[in-house]
Formats: sequence, C-alpha cells, structure tokens
Amino acid sequence: MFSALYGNVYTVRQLVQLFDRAFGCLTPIDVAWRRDDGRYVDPFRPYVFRDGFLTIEHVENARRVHLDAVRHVFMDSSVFIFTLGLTESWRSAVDGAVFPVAPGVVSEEIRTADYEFHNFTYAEVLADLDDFISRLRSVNPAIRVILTVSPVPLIATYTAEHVLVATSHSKAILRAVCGEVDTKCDFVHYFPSYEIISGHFNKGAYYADNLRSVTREGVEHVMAIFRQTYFGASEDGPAEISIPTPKPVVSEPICDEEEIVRSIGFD
Amino acid sequence: MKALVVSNCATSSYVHGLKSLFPDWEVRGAMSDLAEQWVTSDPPRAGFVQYTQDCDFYIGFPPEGTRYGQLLSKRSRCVVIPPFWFRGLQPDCFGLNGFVSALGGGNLYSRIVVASFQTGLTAARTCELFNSKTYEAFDLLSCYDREKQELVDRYRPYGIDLSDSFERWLARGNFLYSYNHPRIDVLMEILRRALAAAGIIRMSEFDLDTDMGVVDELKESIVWPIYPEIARLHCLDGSLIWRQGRVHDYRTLDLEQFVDASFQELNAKPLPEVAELPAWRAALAGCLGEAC
Repeated sequence: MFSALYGNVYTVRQLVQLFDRAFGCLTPIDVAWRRDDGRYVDPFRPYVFRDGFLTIEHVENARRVHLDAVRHVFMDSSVFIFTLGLTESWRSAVDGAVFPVAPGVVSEEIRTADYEFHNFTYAEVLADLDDFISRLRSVNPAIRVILTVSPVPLIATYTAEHVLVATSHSKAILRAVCGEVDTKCDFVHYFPSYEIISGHFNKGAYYADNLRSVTREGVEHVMAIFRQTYFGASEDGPAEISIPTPKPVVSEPICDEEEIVRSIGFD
Repeated sequence: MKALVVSNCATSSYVHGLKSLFPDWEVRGAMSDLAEQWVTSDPPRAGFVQYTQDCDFYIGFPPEGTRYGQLLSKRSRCVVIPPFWFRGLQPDCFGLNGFVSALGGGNLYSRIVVASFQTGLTAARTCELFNSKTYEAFDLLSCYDREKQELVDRYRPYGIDLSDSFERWLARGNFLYSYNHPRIDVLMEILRRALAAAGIIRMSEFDLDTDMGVVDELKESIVWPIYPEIARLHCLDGSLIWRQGRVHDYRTLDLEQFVDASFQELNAKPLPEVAELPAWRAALAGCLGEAC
C-alpha cells in the first residue's frame, strides 16, 4: 500500500519532518512508544506493524530500513503524489516532532504533559509545503509533484468547534494551500479528487453509509479522471505525465572575465 | 563532504561562503559557461568531470538541461540558486551581446545610449538625455516594484523567500555594484536561505545582514551608478559616475566620457538584433518630440 511503509502522513509538517528524518537533519527524542500490551511501536507510524516490536532496538532497526526507503523514494521518483489530510495534529512539546495520532491513543503510559495539540494555520501549512518542495527538489531537481486533498471528513476534533465546522476549516486551508502552490510552481499540479468526491453535484453518492468513507465507485471515478488527465484518454495509453517541466533560467549579462574568479579548486 | 558550486560571477562568493559555514568541507566551483565547456571539450576536463560525479552537494544554477548536470550522481544533493539580477535601481543597464562595455570588460551598456546611437543622435546630444523625462519615457522610474517581484518570483520556487529582504538591503545603502553584482551580504543571505530551504542549515535573524567574513570580490569589479533621479526615490546617493574594475585601476568615467566610450565601441561594428530596441527607440522618439 505504501512505497516506503510510511503509515499515514496527515499533515504537511509530518511530511517535512519525514524528509528531515530520512536525510539525517532531524532526530526526534521520541524513539519508541511502549503500548499497553508491552510491545513497542514507532511513534511516527504506530499502526504499520500491528504486532509492534519486542524491543526499542527492533523499532530502531525497522526505522532505519524505512528511512532508507524514504530516501530512495524522494531521490528516485519522477513524480511525487501527496494528499494533504489534516491541519489538526499532536506534537512533542519538547522538540516539536509531529505524530500521526494523539500519543494517549497508543498508550496510557505516555506522559501527556510532554505533548500538545496544534492546529496548523494557513500560513504554517503553506510555509511547510514550500519547505518540503524545496527540500525535495534539492535531492531530485527534475521531480514533479501532484497534490490532492483528502475528501474524508474529520471523525472528531480537539478544537472547541463542532466537527463539521472544524472539517470545513481544515479542508479550506489545505485546498487553498494547494491552489497557491499549484499557481506559483509550474512543476506542481493540483488534482481535484477532493472536488470529485465531495462536490454537492453528486449528492453524497461517493460516501459510504458512515458519511466518511469513500465508496469503491468514488475511488474508481477519481482514478478514471486521473488516468485521463495524466496518461491520456486511452486506458492503456502512454505513461507520460503531462505536468510541464520548468524552463531553465538563463542569465543575460556577461561579466568582465578579467575581474571575476571563474573557477576555484580546478587549477 | 565535497561540494560543487556552479553559478555566474557569484561562484567564488558562494564557494567562500560555504567554506565559512562548513570549514571541514571540500568546496570547489566553476562558472556555468566554463563548467559546460569543460564537460563538452574533447577530451573533457577529467578533474572537473570526476569531482562533479563525486560531489555530495551541488549548489548553483538549475542543472537540468546542462551537460555537467548529467554527471551529477543521484546521491548528490542539489541546492538550486537561480542567477541574481535586479534592474530596479540600475534599470538603464543591459547586456549587449558581442560588444565590450565602455567599462573595459563585460557587455553592460546603457539603453538610452544605444537607442540614441541607433537613432543617429550625437554623443553630446545623448548626454543631454540623462534626465527625468527620458527616464520616465524609458520606464526607469517606476520599475522598482515590478523588478523586485520578478526577482522574488524567480527565487520562490526554490524555497528562497526574498520578499522581506529588500528593505533590509536598502537600509544599508545601495546593495548593487551593477544590476547583476550585489553586495556580499546579499549573496550570503541568498546562499543561507537556499541551504535552509534544503534543510541543510537552520537560519535565524542573526544570520542576516552579515558578510560571514567573506571577501566582497564583486566590489572590485565595475560600478554602474544609480542615476540621481532614481536614487532619490529610494533615499540613496545617486551619481552619473561609472567606475571600471580593479584591472583597470578603478578608473572613473563621467557621463561624457562614458557616452563617448560607448559610441566608440558601437561604431566599430553593426548592432546585433536587440528585441527591446524598437521599444526603446519609440520611447526616445516620444521623448525627443517633447524636446527633452
């Protein structure tokens, strides 16, 4: 299901931190969480291994393999697809590391005072997405990015708002950020799966009875449009992604060659 | 760690900036045209090819579409820094391909001088054109914000946000020797913003407004003045004195000397096709009609 066993990366801050952890720029103090059954899990993907691990060392070993795979995904992909899911998050009050779940959900042993709730603002999400794309392009300059927004509404909110209001607030921020980045970066494209599923025109037909889960028909509709958009109209057409490649920047003025040091270290 | 810088005239400054930030790194650099030349020559320059293949970090121009870019290993991290040019303060200046500048090197010319030369005006009459009416006709007085936005937009896709930087740069006076040669603290800020965007360093406000102890090499090159009418708009000191670089003993040229020297060069051979020249001539014609 996942190209590098990430688990769910709900927030853009999680994505930035995933990059930084993969490239050794961030080492969170939360190494492993001990579940109530005594097994250990990786705080950044607590549900990927249902049985957890016997020791902290095992968690760390698995994480090394995982982050190695993450590095390869970022460095070797030609197209990176990311779905923005949430603005609400739980993070370490000590070092700011962001987790996919509230720590207390995983274990009652966890000191809740060490963690805090944070609802990311539009400015924060935009800055995080800008940061991530810069990092991504630094290891893979030719990579192109497709963004989508999750159409799945919140099941609960930690804010004081009603969950419907919190959902609208969150989705509006995520959708607006995608639009902003799509507009300013010619190698980024927003794909409207959110609109396809949640649009009023289909009268909720793509939501299951719980009014949250997306039905198989909804997924198939989204994927059909995805194929038409990026692979041409034919179902088995050429796999050529049609996001424009940015033009190289050229410089016009020429400097005085005698004045300027033209190379260093290649004498 | 091995780092390779490929850029324009800022290459040396970026190399020394990286050495200042990472004293343990091996940092080498080459200007982009030289790098391309080294890779495409027969035989290619082995030392450069090998280093490019080996480097852990690439810092500089977008490598896509270049031959040296194809040599970079997949494991090397790429920190893109687009070329710097900002015409907001010296908007009359442009690069004229195939002609040596009156400043002794490079290809920088005045739009007003070139348009006037092609219109057939004398050097003496051309000198009289350096006034606010002509600047207005050439749209030199109101282009600052547009040029600023263009620069901000050029850097933003690479995570380098310069939108709040101009006021700080200006607060320390003129930050340009010519429109593509900024002061060293400007280059060092851009370098650190690029490294921070790539997650290689963390930035704080204390990192701004400093030269990081790096010698300002571009200071030794030519200086294109900010014309007084334009300078006043930004509370800067303006002049009509051009300065040549170190290898020409920093000789200065007043307006008459600069126009004479430009005309001498322009007389030597036919002008190449310059896309904007018809518009400049039209601006000049309108200006002459008003008896500037």
